[in-house]
Amino acid sequence: MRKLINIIAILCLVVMPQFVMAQVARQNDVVPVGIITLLSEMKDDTEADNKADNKTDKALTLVEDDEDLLGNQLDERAWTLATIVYRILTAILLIIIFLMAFYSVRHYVFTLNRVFGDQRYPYLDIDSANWPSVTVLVAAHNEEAVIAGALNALLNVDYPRDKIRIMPMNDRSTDRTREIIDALVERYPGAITPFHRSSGKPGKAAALKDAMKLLDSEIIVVFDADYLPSRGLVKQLVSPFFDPEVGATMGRVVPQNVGSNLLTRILDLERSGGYQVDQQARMNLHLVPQYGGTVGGIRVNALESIGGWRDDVLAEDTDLTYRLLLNDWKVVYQNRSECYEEVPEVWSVRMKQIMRWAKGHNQAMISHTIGLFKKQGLTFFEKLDGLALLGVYVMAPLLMLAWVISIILFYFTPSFIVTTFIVFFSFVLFSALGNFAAFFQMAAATYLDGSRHRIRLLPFVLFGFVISVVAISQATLSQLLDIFLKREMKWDKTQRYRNTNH
Amino acid sequence: MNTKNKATARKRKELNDDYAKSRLQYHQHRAMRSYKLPKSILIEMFLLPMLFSLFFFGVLEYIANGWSKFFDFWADKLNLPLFVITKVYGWDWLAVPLPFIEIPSVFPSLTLWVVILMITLAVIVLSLLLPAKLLPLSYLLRVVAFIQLTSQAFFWWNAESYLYTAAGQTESLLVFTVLLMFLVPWMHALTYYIFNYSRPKKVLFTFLTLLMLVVFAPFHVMFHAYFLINYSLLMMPLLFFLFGVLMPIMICVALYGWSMSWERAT
Repeated sequence: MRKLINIIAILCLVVMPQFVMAQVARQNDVVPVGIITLLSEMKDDTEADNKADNKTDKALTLVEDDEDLLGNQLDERAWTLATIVYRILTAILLIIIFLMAFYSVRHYVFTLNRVFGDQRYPYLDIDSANWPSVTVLVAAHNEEAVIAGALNALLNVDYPRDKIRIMPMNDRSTDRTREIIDALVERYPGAITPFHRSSGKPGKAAALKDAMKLLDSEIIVVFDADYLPSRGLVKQLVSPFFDPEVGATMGRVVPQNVGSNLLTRILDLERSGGYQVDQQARMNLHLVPQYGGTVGGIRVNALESIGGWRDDVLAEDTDLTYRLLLNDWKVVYQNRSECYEEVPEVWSVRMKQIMRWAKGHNQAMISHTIGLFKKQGLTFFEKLDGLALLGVYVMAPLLMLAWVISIILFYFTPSFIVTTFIVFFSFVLFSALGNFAAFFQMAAATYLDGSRHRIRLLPFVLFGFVISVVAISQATLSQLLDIFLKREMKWDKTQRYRNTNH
Repeated sequence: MNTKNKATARKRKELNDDYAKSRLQYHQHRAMRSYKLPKSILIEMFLLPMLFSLFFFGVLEYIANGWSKFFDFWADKLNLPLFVITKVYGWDWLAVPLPFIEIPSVFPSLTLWVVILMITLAVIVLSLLLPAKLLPLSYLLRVVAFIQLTSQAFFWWNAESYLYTAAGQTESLLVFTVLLMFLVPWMHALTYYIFNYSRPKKVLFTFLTLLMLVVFAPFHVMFHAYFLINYSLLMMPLLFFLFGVLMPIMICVALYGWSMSWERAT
């Protein structure tokens, strides 16, 4: 049965666009007039050149004797070539349109499920228990602006004192991060165990890998230094681990600096759509909620069983989600576990951030796609969702490609497909895409959040969408160059904006 | 006395119910919120768009007449060489007459080609000079410039084989906008009527969106006609790709965002 479903899925993804294209070509009796004209002109030029040195070209002499024959043959060849080019481009365009439609439907299904479906919050009721030992890791690289806020908030969480260890991972900071951490260690003796990392490979994954050697707890909870955890957050993130199948948990990230400018407001809408709707719907539907690298917990046993942190990846969170999935561990999303973070306030910083995510995500796609296909024990929809999640950052360069193909087809073929694409693209803009979260999804998220006025900025999400498409396409191109030129991928830290007064 | 007691009891019950509702509404954390989709809304999701489609179909002829007069008026005011004819689209009783403006397809002169090229290059330079906080605008300008450059290149290289006419462009634009108007109520059914807004608000939202499109469409078509006549077919790819159907769609998105901010029914 599963094989049959897989075959149907492959047919839908690969064969159907080809079929549609063939039907369209047949119905329209495709005449790629522009290409034919150009190739005919090229033929004329070639003939002119050949005439200049016809004495040395025996074959041309033969052809000159029968110019009509040559013209017919070239016309036929040009026709065939143009038709092939047209069909290839149209096929690519249709496949991209099909993928866009798939993502649109996915957004719509997720949103309806989140708003009207049965919600799953299976581990929220646990209030008192024999809590497991936890180490809270706070990744910090030049975080003087925010590290004190995160540590102070963690010192106030309601987890049993003897079961929790707070470990700021100061990764080669060159600012006052170390000084601030040490001051807090002195002020609260025994509460904080600092890990000052002064050498080694840069990047969060490398720092986490080193920190693991110092741990003896059952669970680790990871935060970025700009996060402000609430009092009950650690308990909420740890409670799902009473289920022995759970390998990781993930909470909801809420922007803290929403009111700074238009960018932060757009990111707030995107985050709402992504967490309040998308992640919770995946949780409801038993699909693949994503561990997001921060505001999340990991079972140390599970981590060890999948080979620990990988420091050769740019998105250790996505990589970890898929390694856990492929090793039969569950990831649980806790929508109730909210934590506040800083989002970029400057477009260039946002671009860098999304480029890093795109590269990391694409790395994970390359590493795990085949494994996901082969994996036994996952449902068809889990696999489909897993693939959709892996491929989400590929859609941006594909969209760019679709635009380019549309422009080419616009000039060279009088086909209705181009106009269809434009209409489709516009409709998708209306109802679906915006940094791969949907307009509808965002609207539903703000509806669920109970906030009203911020959704008026919805059309401005187009700006975020433009930036994302450009950034992701650039990242993908750069990643391809990295592979060909054997360049090592670079990890960029996201800039912080909170003031530095503590 | 008995009646007064009953009224007091009813009032108290109403107050208690309101209190219970408000407690439920405000004490449920946003993470836990979800809603039911009652049958009445499902019926609404089918009936309202159907009524809107029928209504729009019924008044389209009058709207088309209005558009036709609009085109005549502005053709005269702007001194544009165009005339309006009515074409019937569709089949049998589903046929709708729409005004179609016949405009000449003007090929660019060398001077115009050079001037627009200069403007395009200036747009590229401007996109590079804009401050960092306007980065999205910079990219949008570059997209505009890129599409215009492809047009410049094509008309320099092989203008004779250009496949489209200016009249065809304005015609397809109006047809797509009318199609969009027929689709709007159904899109609202799927993305707006499902939420708990009062029925008058739902009707108002769709009505306002349609009204906006009815007003916008002739201006949009006239804008295209003006550019195509004065600045030649050279502008057509840009108008088609970026300033065509995308614009009414973005209007729909903006109105959708606005309507989602309206107060909800309790």
